Amino acid sequence: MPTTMNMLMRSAHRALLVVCLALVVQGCAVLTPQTVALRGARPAGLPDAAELTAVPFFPQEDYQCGPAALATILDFAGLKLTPEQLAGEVYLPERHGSLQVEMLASPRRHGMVSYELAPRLADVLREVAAGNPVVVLQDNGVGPFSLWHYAVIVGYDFSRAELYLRSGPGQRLVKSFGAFEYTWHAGRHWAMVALPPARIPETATQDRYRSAVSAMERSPDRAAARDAFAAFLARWPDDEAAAVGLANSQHALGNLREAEAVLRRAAAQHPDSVPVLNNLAQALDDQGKGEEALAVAERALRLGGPFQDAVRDTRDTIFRRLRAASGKG
Amino acid sequence: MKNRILHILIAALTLIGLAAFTAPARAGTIGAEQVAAQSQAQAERERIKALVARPEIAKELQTLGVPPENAQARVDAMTDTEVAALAGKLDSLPAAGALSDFQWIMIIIGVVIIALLI
Repeated sequence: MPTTMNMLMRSAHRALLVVCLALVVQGCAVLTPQTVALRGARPAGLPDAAELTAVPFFPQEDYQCGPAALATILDFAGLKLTPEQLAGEVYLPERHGSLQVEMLASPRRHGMVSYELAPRLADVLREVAAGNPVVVLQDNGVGPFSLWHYAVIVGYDFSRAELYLRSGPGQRLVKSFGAFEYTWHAGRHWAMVALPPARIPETATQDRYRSAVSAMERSPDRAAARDAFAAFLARWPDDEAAAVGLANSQHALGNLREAEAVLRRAAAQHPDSVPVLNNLAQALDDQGKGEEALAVAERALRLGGPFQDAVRDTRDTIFRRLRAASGKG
Repeated sequence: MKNRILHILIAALTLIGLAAFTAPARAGTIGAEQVAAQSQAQAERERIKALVARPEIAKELQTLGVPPENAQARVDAMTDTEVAALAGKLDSLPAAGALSDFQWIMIIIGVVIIALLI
């Protein structure tokens, strides 16, 4: 009898084990779906391993992972900034931390383009493989306790499913894909890079990168904005917003003829673009070509649309200036 | 009371004055940020919202310990979309800063609680 009992117990154990295993696998698939999907299926063109050993390490002071993470990637991009300097741009003393929006806004103030990645681990790996360290937002908390943290991914090994991070006090923290994805999930897989204007992120798409580059209009570094728009147009030559941005930054730099040339090209590509025509009219008028400016503004006005108020202002200004000039003459 | 009316007046005048162009580009030109927007109607809503929200956020940043001279520059670096996303949520959005000793203790307590529950 004891043997029967034994056998029964053994099969019960085995059954339990199978159920447990199933739960674990199931649990992983639920908690870390990207890791599970990536397992054994390396995305095309992605090297098996990469590590950016030259990325500097700024050991984090209390609460200062935001400034430390930013300093890490901006230093690698060629800017000499300390976490202390960046704390003045992103750190919120009363909240003991830094907001994602400010992490994206700060590099702009130094002429770098911030790009929020699509929420995919594969894209993070691709950026790292292309030489771009990636800032990620993690929640290292447990249960109801959230513990938000920024770290910088500097390397990975696909076969071993491992990531290498500059994180807090850790110069080279090793985390499995699964463990990382679990902490990455709560922040909706948020990740960013910040790169010099002429360097387009590896995973950039036209729509996402257009927003990133358009945000450079907020940068005090007009030349950086111009370079970012120019790089964008070189990749996607018929982009209306990028042409407008390039012309505006040339205009702001005082390069009126360059602005005019960009807008004329854009007007040929987008003959019904009200913003292009409006800005072209402005660029012409600022060079003293009032008659032609007026004609262009009138054409923009006839097209209607949501920018009508702006166009009417432009037209009226040109008109007044022309009248004043002829009055003098 | 007078001060309050004055404030409202100034706010209203600023709104009217800025309504035509808020893009940082230049007066007279339309900015790429506006052209880039997927939907002009949504861009317009965000622009108006940002107009009101920018000074509010600058004030909130100061409340959260940012010196006044920094607060304005920080808001200026944000896009309209970012400002709209931030408005009214500075207290609730994730502010990542880990990890202090206190928080480590909280984590350990959390782990213990969960271990006990299981």
